[in-house]
Amino acid sequence: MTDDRGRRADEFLALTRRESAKGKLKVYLGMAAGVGKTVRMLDDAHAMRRQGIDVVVGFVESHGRAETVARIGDLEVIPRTSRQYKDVVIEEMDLDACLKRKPDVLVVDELPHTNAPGSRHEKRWQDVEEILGAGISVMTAMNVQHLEGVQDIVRSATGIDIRERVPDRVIREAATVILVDLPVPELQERLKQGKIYPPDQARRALDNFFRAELLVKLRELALLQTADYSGRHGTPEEDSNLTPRIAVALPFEPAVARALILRGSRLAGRMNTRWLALYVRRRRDHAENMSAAQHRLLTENVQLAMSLGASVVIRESEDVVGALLDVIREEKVSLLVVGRPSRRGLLGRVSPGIVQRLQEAKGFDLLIADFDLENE
Amino acid sequence: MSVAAAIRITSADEDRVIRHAVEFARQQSAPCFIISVVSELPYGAVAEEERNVVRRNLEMITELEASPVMQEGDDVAKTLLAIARGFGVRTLFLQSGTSRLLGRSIAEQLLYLDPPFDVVVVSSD
Repeated sequence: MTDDRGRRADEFLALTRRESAKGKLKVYLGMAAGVGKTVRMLDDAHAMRRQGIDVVVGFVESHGRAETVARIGDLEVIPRTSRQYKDVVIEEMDLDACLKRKPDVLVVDELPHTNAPGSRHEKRWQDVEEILGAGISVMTAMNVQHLEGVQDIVRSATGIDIRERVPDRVIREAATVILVDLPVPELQERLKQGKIYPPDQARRALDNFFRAELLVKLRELALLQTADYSGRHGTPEEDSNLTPRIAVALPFEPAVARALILRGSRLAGRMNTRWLALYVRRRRDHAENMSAAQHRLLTENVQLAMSLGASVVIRESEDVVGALLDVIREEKVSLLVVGRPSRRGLLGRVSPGIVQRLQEAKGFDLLIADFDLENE
Repeated sequence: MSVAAAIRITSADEDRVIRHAVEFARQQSAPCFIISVVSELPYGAVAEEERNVVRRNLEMITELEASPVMQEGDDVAKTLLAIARGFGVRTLFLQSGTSRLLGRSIAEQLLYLDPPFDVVVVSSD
Protein backbone atom coordinates (compact mmCIF):
# COMPACT_ATOMS: atom_id res chain seq x y z
CA MET A 1 0.00 0.00 0.00
CA THR A 2 1.19 3.49 -0.71
CA ASP A 3 -0.07 6.79 0.58
CA ASP A 4 0.53 8.82 -2.51
CA ARG A 5 -2.71 8.46 -4.44
CA GLY A 6 -3.16 12.20 -4.42
CA ARG A 7 0.48 13.00 -4.88
CA ARG A 8 1.32 12.00 -8.37
CA ALA A 9 4.43 12.94 -10.25
CA ASP A 10 2.68 15.85 -11.89
CA GLU A 11 2.02 17.44 -8.50
CA PHE A 12 5.72 17.33 -7.77
CA LEU A 13 6.34 18.79 -11.19
CA ALA A 14 4.02 21.64 -10.36
CA LEU A 15 6.01 22.26 -7.23
CA THR A 16 9.30 22.26 -9.07
CA ARG A 17 8.01 24.66 -11.68
CA ARG A 18 6.95 27.25 -9.16
CA GLU A 19 9.23 30.21 -8.74
CA SER A 20 11.27 29.40 -5.71
CA ALA A 21 14.79 30.12 -4.60
CA LYS A 22 15.02 26.68 -3.03
CA GLY A 23 14.50 23.32 -4.69
CA LYS A 24 11.81 20.91 -3.48
CA LEU A 25 12.57 17.60 -1.84
CA LYS A 26 10.67 14.38 -2.53
CA VAL A 27 11.49 11.42 -0.30
CA TYR A 28 10.73 7.75 -1.03
CA LEU A 29 10.56 6.05 2.36
CA GLY A 30 10.65 2.30 2.89
CA MET A 31 10.94 -0.24 5.69
CA ALA A 32 14.04 -2.01 4.36
CA ALA A 33 16.29 -2.58 1.39
CA GLY A 34 14.57 -4.24 -1.54
CA VAL A 35 11.06 -2.82 -1.23
CA GLY A 36 11.50 -0.94 -4.51
CA LYS A 37 12.24 2.64 -3.49
CA THR A 38 14.91 3.27 -6.09
CA VAL A 39 12.95 1.59 -8.87
CA ARG A 40 9.88 3.63 -8.03
CA MET A 41 11.93 6.82 -7.88
CA LEU A 42 13.48 6.12 -11.28
CA ASP A 43 10.07 5.34 -12.79
CA ASP A 44 8.86 8.72 -11.56
CA ALA A 45 12.00 10.36 -12.98
CA HIS A 46 11.23 8.93 -16.41
CA ALA A 47 7.63 10.15 -16.13
CA MET A 48 8.88 13.64 -15.34
CA ARG A 49 11.25 13.67 -18.27
CA ARG A 50 8.44 12.65 -20.59
CA GLN A 51 6.66 15.77 -19.43
CA GLY A 52 9.57 17.95 -20.40
CA ILE A 53 11.32 18.26 -17.06
CA ASP A 54 15.10 18.21 -17.04
CA VAL A 55 15.77 15.20 -14.75
CA VAL A 56 19.27 13.93 -14.16
CA VAL A 57 20.68 11.12 -12.01
CA GLY A 58 23.20 12.48 -9.52
CA PHE A 59 23.76 9.17 -7.80
CA VAL A 60 21.97 5.83 -7.86
CA GLU A 61 23.35 2.76 -6.13
CA SER A 62 22.14 -0.36 -7.93
CA HIS A 63 23.71 -2.83 -5.44
CA GLY A 64 24.18 -5.01 -8.50
CA ARG A 65 20.41 -5.43 -8.93
CA ALA A 66 19.61 -5.86 -12.61
CA GLU A 67 16.12 -4.41 -12.08
CA THR A 68 17.59 -1.14 -10.79
CA VAL A 69 20.22 -0.87 -13.52
CA ALA A 70 17.55 -1.42 -16.16
CA ARG A 71 15.38 1.29 -14.66
CA ILE A 72 18.07 3.95 -15.10
CA GLY A 73 17.72 3.33 -18.83
CA ASP A 74 18.55 6.39 -20.89
CA LEU A 75 18.38 8.92 -18.07
CA GLU A 76 21.38 11.23 -18.05
CA VAL A 77 23.78 10.19 -15.29
CA ILE A 78 26.40 12.53 -13.88
CA PRO A 79 29.71 10.65 -13.63
CA ARG A 80 30.85 9.86 -10.11
CA THR A 81 33.96 11.26 -8.56
CA SER A 82 36.63 9.00 -7.02
CA ARG A 83 38.26 9.50 -3.65
CA GLN A 84 41.26 7.65 -2.36
CA TYR A 85 40.92 6.56 1.25
CA LYS A 86 43.84 4.56 2.61
CA ASP A 87 44.17 1.66 0.17
CA VAL A 88 40.78 1.88 -1.42
CA VAL A 89 39.18 4.09 -4.02
CA ILE A 90 35.65 5.13 -3.13
CA GLU A 91 33.17 6.42 -5.69
CA GLU A 92 30.96 9.26 -4.56
CA MET A 93 28.42 11.62 -6.07
CA ASP A 94 30.18 14.51 -7.76
CA LEU A 95 28.49 17.36 -5.91
CA ASP A 96 30.20 20.13 -7.87
CA ALA A 97 29.33 18.52 -11.20
CA CYS A 98 25.69 18.23 -10.10
CA LEU A 99 25.58 21.89 -9.10
CA LYS A 100 27.24 22.93 -12.34
CA ARG A 101 24.83 20.87 -14.47
CA LYS A 102 21.88 22.46 -12.58
CA PRO A 103 18.97 20.30 -13.79
CA ASP A 104 15.38 20.95 -12.70
CA VAL A 105 15.38 17.72 -10.72
CA LEU A 106 18.27 15.61 -9.49
CA VAL A 107 17.92 11.96 -8.42
CA VAL A 108 20.07 11.26 -5.36
CA ASP A 109 19.74 7.79 -3.88
CA GLU A 110 20.56 6.71 -0.30
CA LEU A 111 20.08 9.91 1.63
CA PRO A 112 21.65 8.62 4.89
CA HIS A 113 24.95 7.69 3.19
CA THR A 114 28.20 8.77 4.85
CA ASN A 115 30.59 10.33 2.33
CA ALA A 116 34.21 9.30 2.01
CA PRO A 117 36.67 11.29 4.10
CA GLY A 118 37.77 14.40 2.28
CA SER A 119 34.34 15.08 0.81
CA ARG A 120 32.90 18.54 1.30
CA HIS A 121 30.17 17.22 3.59
CA GLU A 122 30.28 14.29 5.95
CA LYS A 123 26.77 13.13 5.00
CA ARG A 124 24.86 12.91 1.73
CA TRP A 125 21.82 14.62 3.25
CA GLN A 126 24.11 17.65 3.69
CA ASP A 127 24.99 17.44 -0.02
CA VAL A 128 21.27 17.38 -0.74
CA GLU A 129 20.69 20.45 1.39
CA GLU A 130 23.33 22.30 -0.62
CA ILE A 131 21.73 21.15 -3.89
CA LEU A 132 18.28 22.27 -2.72
CA GLY A 133 19.77 25.59 -1.67
CA ALA A 134 21.01 26.03 -5.24
CA GLY A 135 17.43 25.84 -6.50
CA ILE A 136 17.60 22.25 -7.75
CA SER A 137 14.79 19.90 -6.70
CA VAL A 138 15.81 16.49 -5.42
CA MET A 139 14.23 13.03 -5.42
CA THR A 140 15.81 10.78 -2.85
CA ALA A 141 15.23 7.47 -1.06
CA MET A 142 15.89 6.07 2.39
CA ASN A 143 14.78 3.45 4.88
CA VAL A 144 12.86 4.46 7.97
CA GLN A 145 15.38 3.12 10.48
CA HIS A 146 17.79 5.88 9.48
CA LEU A 147 15.55 8.62 10.81
CA GLU A 148 16.99 10.23 13.90
CA GLY A 149 13.59 10.39 15.61
CA VAL A 150 12.96 6.64 15.63
CA GLN A 151 16.30 5.50 16.98
CA ASP A 152 14.94 4.51 20.40
CA ILE A 153 12.34 2.28 18.79
CA VAL A 154 14.80 0.81 16.29
CA ARG A 155 17.34 0.12 19.01
CA SER A 156 14.81 -1.60 21.26
CA ALA A 157 13.47 -3.67 18.37
CA THR A 158 16.74 -4.61 16.71
CA GLY A 159 19.43 -4.10 19.30
CA ILE A 160 21.30 -2.30 16.54
CA ASP A 161 22.68 1.20 16.84
CA ILE A 162 22.17 2.82 13.43
CA ARG A 163 25.07 5.13 12.68
CA GLU A 164 23.90 6.65 9.41
CA ARG A 165 21.12 8.91 10.54
CA VAL A 166 19.11 11.66 8.90
CA PRO A 167 17.71 14.48 11.04
CA ASP A 168 13.92 14.42 11.09
CA ARG A 169 13.77 18.06 10.05
CA VAL A 170 15.16 17.14 6.61
CA ILE A 171 12.14 14.93 6.01
CA ARG A 172 9.71 17.29 7.70
CA GLU A 173 10.73 20.00 5.26
CA ALA A 174 10.21 17.72 2.27
CA ALA A 175 7.52 18.72 -0.20
CA THR A 176 6.42 15.09 -0.50
CA VAL A 177 7.06 11.86 1.39
CA ILE A 178 6.04 8.68 -0.39
CA LEU A 179 5.80 5.35 1.32
CA VAL A 180 7.13 2.51 -0.82
CA ASP A 181 5.62 -0.54 0.77
CA LEU A 182 5.70 -4.28 0.26
CA PRO A 183 4.07 -7.01 2.38
CA VAL A 184 6.63 -8.67 4.63
CA PRO A 185 6.32 -12.19 3.14
CA GLU A 186 6.77 -10.74 -0.35
CA LEU A 187 9.93 -8.89 0.69
CA GLN A 188 11.32 -12.06 2.29
CA GLU A 189 10.52 -13.96 -0.90
CA ARG A 190 12.40 -11.38 -2.98
CA LEU A 191 15.33 -11.80 -0.62
CA LYS A 192 15.25 -15.61 -0.98
CA GLN A 193 15.17 -15.26 -4.75
CA GLY A 194 18.40 -13.27 -4.63
CA LYS A 195 16.75 -10.10 -5.90
CA ILE A 196 18.08 -8.02 -3.02
CA TYR A 197 21.37 -9.56 -1.87
CA PRO A 198 23.63 -12.38 -3.12
CA PRO A 199 22.64 -15.81 -1.66
CA ASP A 200 25.09 -15.88 1.29
CA GLN A 201 24.23 -12.38 2.35
CA ALA A 202 20.52 -13.09 1.89
CA ARG A 203 20.64 -16.07 4.25
CA ARG A 204 22.34 -13.98 6.92
CA ALA A 205 19.82 -11.19 6.38
CA LEU A 206 16.87 -13.54 6.90
CA ASP A 207 18.29 -14.47 10.30
CA ASN A 208 18.95 -10.88 11.26
CA PHE A 209 17.50 -7.68 9.86
CA PHE A 210 14.94 -9.42 7.64
CA ARG A 211 13.28 -11.45 10.41
CA ALA A 212 9.50 -11.27 9.96
CA GLU A 213 8.77 -9.76 13.37
CA LEU A 214 11.39 -7.08 12.87
CA LEU A 215 10.18 -6.24 9.37
CA VAL A 216 6.63 -5.96 10.68
CA LYS A 217 7.85 -3.45 13.25
CA LEU A 218 9.82 -1.48 10.66
CA ARG A 219 6.86 -1.50 8.31
CA GLU A 220 4.67 -0.04 11.06
CA LEU A 221 7.29 2.60 11.67
CA ALA A 222 7.50 3.54 8.00
CA LEU A 223 3.74 3.77 7.80
CA LEU A 224 3.44 5.95 10.89
CA GLN A 225 6.29 8.21 9.85
CA THR A 226 4.87 8.70 6.38
CA ALA A 227 1.45 9.40 7.83
CA ASP A 228 3.08 11.90 10.15
CA TYR A 229 4.77 13.75 7.30
CA SER A 230 1.92 13.54 4.82
CA GLY A 231 -0.71 16.22 5.09
CA ARG A 232 1.81 18.80 6.23
CA HIS A 233 2.48 20.13 2.78
CA GLY A 234 -0.85 19.86 1.04
CA THR A 235 -1.66 22.51 -1.53
CA PRO A 236 -5.43 22.75 -1.25
CA GLU A 237 -5.38 26.32 -2.51
CA GLU A 238 -4.49 24.90 -5.93
CA ASP A 239 -7.79 23.07 -6.13
CA SER A 240 -10.49 24.17 -3.75
CA ASN A 241 -12.59 21.11 -4.64
CA LEU A 242 -9.96 18.96 -3.00
CA THR A 243 -9.92 20.96 0.21
CA PRO A 244 -10.55 18.58 3.08
CA ARG A 245 -13.82 19.37 4.80
CA ILE A 246 -14.28 16.47 7.18
CA ALA A 247 -11.84 15.55 9.89
CA VAL A 248 -12.03 12.76 12.43
CA ALA A 249 -10.30 13.26 15.76
CA LEU A 250 -8.92 9.89 16.77
CA PRO A 251 -8.82 9.02 20.44
CA PHE A 252 -6.20 6.74 21.92
CA GLU A 253 -8.74 3.94 22.49
CA PRO A 254 -8.28 1.72 19.41
CA ALA A 255 -11.85 0.39 19.23
CA VAL A 256 -13.36 3.88 19.38
CA ALA A 257 -10.77 5.20 16.91
CA ARG A 258 -11.64 2.42 14.48
CA ALA A 259 -15.37 3.14 14.74
CA LEU A 260 -14.74 6.85 14.14
CA ILE A 261 -12.53 6.12 11.12
CA LEU A 262 -15.30 4.03 9.58
CA ARG A 263 -17.86 6.73 10.34
CA GLY A 264 -15.63 9.45 8.88
CA SER A 265 -15.02 7.44 5.74
CA ARG A 266 -18.75 6.88 5.21
CA LEU A 267 -19.55 10.55 5.79
CA ALA A 268 -16.82 11.66 3.40
CA GLY A 269 -18.09 9.23 0.80
CA ARG A 270 -21.63 10.54 1.05
CA MET A 271 -20.45 14.14 1.04
CA ASN A 272 -18.04 13.41 -1.80
CA THR A 273 -15.19 15.14 -0.08
CA ARG A 274 -11.67 14.47 1.11
CA TRP A 275 -11.18 13.73 4.78
CA LEU A 276 -8.52 13.81 7.41
CA ALA A 277 -7.85 11.54 10.35
CA LEU A 278 -6.24 13.59 13.12
CA TYR A 279 -4.32 12.09 15.96
CA VAL A 280 -2.76 14.27 18.62
CA ARG A 281 -0.11 12.27 20.37
CA ARG A 282 0.64 13.16 23.94
CA ARG A 283 3.80 12.12 25.71
CA ARG A 284 1.95 9.32 27.46
CA ASP A 285 0.85 7.96 24.05
CA HIS A 286 4.40 7.64 22.69
CA ALA A 287 5.48 4.25 21.45
CA GLU A 288 7.78 3.66 24.39
CA ASN A 289 4.88 4.20 26.81
CA MET A 290 2.48 1.78 25.18
CA SER A 291 2.35 -1.97 24.90
CA ALA A 292 3.23 -3.77 21.69
CA ALA A 293 -0.45 -4.66 21.27
CA GLN A 294 -1.54 -1.03 21.65
CA HIS A 295 1.13 0.08 19.19
CA ARG A 296 -0.01 -2.51 16.70
CA LEU A 297 -3.66 -1.43 17.03
CA LEU A 298 -2.71 2.20 16.58
CA THR A 299 -0.75 1.32 13.46
CA GLU A 300 -3.64 -0.74 12.12
CA ASN A 301 -5.98 2.21 12.60
CA VAL A 302 -3.61 4.54 10.75
CA GLN A 303 -3.38 1.97 7.98
CA LEU A 304 -7.16 1.59 7.91
CA ALA A 305 -7.69 5.36 7.66
CA MET A 306 -5.17 5.63 4.83
CA SER A 307 -6.67 2.68 3.02
CA LEU A 308 -10.05 4.41 3.27
CA GLY A 309 -8.65 7.50 1.62
CA ALA A 310 -7.91 9.69 4.62
CA SER A 311 -4.95 11.96 4.90
CA VAL A 312 -3.58 11.08 8.31
CA VAL A 313 -2.17 13.95 10.32
CA ILE A 314 -0.32 13.21 13.54
CA ARG A 315 0.65 16.09 15.79
CA GLU A 316 2.76 16.03 18.93
CA SER A 317 1.21 18.10 21.69
CA GLU A 318 0.05 17.97 25.29
CA ASP A 319 -2.72 20.42 24.32
CA VAL A 320 -5.03 18.17 22.32
CA VAL A 321 -7.72 20.77 21.72
CA GLY A 322 -5.21 23.44 20.68
CA ALA A 323 -3.51 21.07 18.24
CA LEU A 324 -6.86 19.96 16.78
CA LEU A 325 -7.95 23.57 16.30
CA ASP A 326 -4.65 24.37 14.58
CA VAL A 327 -5.17 21.60 12.02
CA ILE A 328 -8.85 22.52 11.56
CA ARG A 329 -7.83 26.07 10.74
CA GLU A 330 -4.91 25.09 8.50
CA GLU A 331 -6.88 22.48 6.56
CA LYS A 332 -10.15 24.46 6.39
CA VAL A 333 -12.11 21.68 8.05
CA SER A 334 -15.83 22.41 8.30
CA LEU A 335 -16.99 19.28 10.13
CA LEU A 336 -15.04 17.61 12.92
CA VAL A 337 -16.15 14.14 14.01
CA VAL A 338 -15.43 13.09 17.60
CA GLY A 339 -16.52 10.35 19.98
CA ARG A 340 -18.77 10.88 22.99
CA PRO A 341 -17.23 12.85 25.86
CA SER A 342 -15.79 10.69 28.60
CA ARG A 343 -16.42 13.31 31.28
CA ARG A 344 -20.06 13.85 32.03
CA GLY A 345 -22.17 15.37 34.76
CA LEU A 346 -20.48 17.33 37.50
CA LEU A 347 -16.96 16.27 36.49
CA GLY A 348 -17.57 17.53 32.96
CA ARG A 349 -18.74 20.87 34.30
CA VAL A 350 -15.94 21.32 36.83
CA SER A 351 -13.22 20.16 34.44
CA PRO A 352 -14.39 20.24 30.81
CA GLY A 353 -12.91 17.52 28.64
CA ILE A 354 -11.83 17.66 25.02
CA VAL A 355 -15.32 17.40 23.52
CA GLN A 356 -16.76 20.02 25.85
CA ARG A 357 -13.99 22.44 24.96
CA LEU A 358 -14.39 21.78 21.24
CA GLN A 359 -18.06 22.71 21.51
CA GLU A 360 -17.01 26.21 22.52
CA ALA A 361 -14.78 26.66 19.46
CA LYS A 362 -15.93 28.52 16.37
CA GLY A 363 -15.56 28.07 12.64
CA PHE A 364 -16.63 24.44 12.22
CA ASP A 365 -19.44 22.04 13.11
CA LEU A 366 -18.78 19.34 15.67
CA LEU A 367 -20.33 15.92 15.11
CA ILE A 368 -20.40 13.95 18.34
CA ALA A 369 -20.85 10.41 17.13
CA ASP A 370 -22.98 7.73 18.65
CA PHE A 371 -21.97 4.25 17.63
CA ASP A 372 -22.33 0.70 18.65
CA LEU A 373 -18.79 -0.63 18.82
CA GLU A 374 -20.04 -4.16 18.26
CA ASN A 375 -21.65 -3.26 14.96
CA GLU A 376 -19.33 -0.62 13.51
CA MET B 1 -33.25 7.12 9.34
CA SER B 2 -33.64 10.88 9.29
CA VAL B 3 -31.81 14.10 10.06
CA ALA B 4 -33.16 16.78 12.38
CA ALA B 5 -32.25 20.21 13.66
CA ALA B 6 -33.36 21.63 16.98
CA ILE B 7 -34.08 25.34 16.87
CA ARG B 8 -35.88 28.05 18.79
CA ILE B 9 -38.66 28.93 16.40
CA THR B 10 -38.84 32.45 17.83
CA SER B 11 -35.14 33.12 17.23
CA ALA B 12 -33.97 35.03 14.18
CA ASP B 13 -30.54 33.37 14.36
CA GLU B 14 -31.42 29.83 13.31
CA ASP B 15 -30.71 30.07 9.57
CA ARG B 16 -27.32 28.47 9.87
CA VAL B 17 -28.36 25.38 11.82
CA ILE B 18 -31.39 24.84 9.56
CA ARG B 19 -29.31 25.11 6.38
CA HIS B 20 -26.55 22.86 7.69
CA ALA B 21 -29.06 20.18 8.69
CA VAL B 22 -30.90 20.39 5.35
CA GLU B 23 -27.65 20.17 3.38
CA PHE B 24 -26.48 17.21 5.44
CA ALA B 25 -29.82 15.44 4.96
CA ARG B 26 -29.56 15.94 1.20
CA GLN B 27 -26.11 14.41 1.18
CA GLN B 28 -27.46 11.43 3.10
CA SER B 29 -30.64 11.24 1.00
CA ALA B 30 -32.59 11.42 4.24
CA PRO B 31 -35.69 13.39 5.29
CA CYS B 32 -35.04 16.43 7.46
CA PHE B 33 -37.13 17.59 10.41
CA ILE B 34 -36.73 20.97 12.06
CA ILE B 35 -37.81 20.61 15.67
CA SER B 36 -38.73 23.40 18.02
CA VAL B 37 -39.49 22.69 21.66
CA VAL B 38 -41.56 25.44 23.26
CA SER B 39 -43.07 25.76 26.69
CA GLU B 40 -46.28 26.92 25.01
CA LEU B 41 -47.07 26.73 21.35
CA PRO B 42 -46.40 30.21 19.99
CA TYR B 43 -49.50 30.74 17.92
CA GLY B 44 -51.35 33.78 19.10
CA ALA B 45 -49.26 34.02 22.25
CA VAL B 46 -46.29 35.94 20.94
CA ALA B 47 -45.61 39.54 20.11
CA GLU B 48 -45.92 40.76 16.53
CA GLU B 49 -42.14 40.84 16.03
CA GLU B 50 -41.72 37.26 17.24
CA ARG B 51 -44.63 36.16 15.11
CA ASN B 52 -42.82 37.54 12.06
CA VAL B 53 -39.71 35.61 13.03
CA VAL B 54 -41.73 32.41 13.41
CA ARG B 55 -43.30 33.01 10.00
CA ARG B 56 -39.90 33.63 8.39
CA ASN B 57 -38.43 30.50 9.96
CA LEU B 58 -41.35 28.37 8.82
CA GLU B 59 -41.12 29.79 5.31
CA MET B 60 -37.43 28.99 5.13
CA ILE B 61 -37.97 25.45 6.44
CA THR B 62 -40.62 24.70 3.86
CA GLU B 63 -38.66 26.38 1.04
CA LEU B 64 -35.76 24.09 1.87
CA GLU B 65 -38.16 21.15 1.74
CA ALA B 66 -37.68 20.22 5.37
CA SER B 67 -40.52 19.45 7.75
CA PRO B 68 -41.23 21.72 10.73
CA VAL B 69 -42.09 20.00 14.01
CA MET B 70 -43.24 21.91 17.08
CA GLN B 71 -43.64 20.26 20.43
CA GLU B 72 -44.61 21.57 23.84
CA GLY B 73 -42.27 20.63 26.62
CA ASP B 74 -40.50 22.13 29.64
CA ASP B 75 -37.35 20.00 29.55
CA VAL B 76 -35.88 20.76 26.13
CA ALA B 77 -33.30 17.96 26.11
CA LYS B 78 -35.71 15.22 27.21
CA THR B 79 -38.38 16.42 24.81
CA LEU B 80 -35.90 16.50 21.93
CA LEU B 81 -34.79 12.99 22.78
CA ALA B 82 -38.37 11.73 22.76
CA ILE B 83 -39.21 13.39 19.44
CA ALA B 84 -35.98 12.31 17.80
CA ARG B 85 -36.60 8.72 18.82
CA GLY B 86 -40.11 8.94 17.43
CA PHE B 87 -38.89 10.24 14.07
CA GLY B 88 -36.00 7.79 13.77
CA VAL B 89 -33.44 10.58 13.85
CA ARG B 90 -29.84 9.47 13.21
CA THR B 91 -28.24 12.93 13.34
CA LEU B 92 -29.48 15.93 15.28
CA PHE B 93 -28.12 19.43 14.63
CA LEU B 94 -28.02 22.06 17.38
CA GLN B 95 -26.74 25.60 17.52
CA SER B 96 -23.67 25.89 19.74
CA GLY B 97 -24.46 27.22 23.21
CA THR B 98 -28.22 26.98 22.70
CA SER B 99 -30.20 27.73 25.90
CA ARG B 100 -27.80 27.10 28.71
CA LEU B 101 -29.27 25.67 31.88
CA LEU B 102 -27.08 25.72 34.99
CA GLY B 103 -24.03 26.24 32.79
CA ARG B 104 -24.83 23.33 30.49
CA SER B 105 -25.80 23.76 26.86
CA ILE B 106 -28.69 21.79 25.37
CA ALA B 107 -26.10 19.66 23.56
CA GLU B 108 -24.42 18.80 26.85
CA GLN B 109 -27.75 18.04 28.48
CA LEU B 110 -28.70 15.84 25.56
CA LEU B 111 -25.38 13.98 25.55
CA TYR B 112 -25.83 13.33 29.25
CA LEU B 113 -29.00 11.41 28.33
CA ASP B 114 -26.93 9.18 25.99
CA PRO B 115 -29.09 9.66 22.90
CA PRO B 116 -29.09 6.94 20.22
CA PHE B 117 -28.02 9.36 17.50
CA ASP B 118 -25.17 11.66 16.49
CA VAL B 119 -25.27 15.21 17.77
CA VAL B 120 -23.85 17.98 15.57
CA VAL B 121 -23.04 21.24 17.33
CA VAL B 122 -23.19 23.97 14.68
CA SER B 123 -20.76 26.81 15.10
CA SER B 124 -22.39 30.21 15.35
CA ASP B 125 -20.10 31.78 12.75
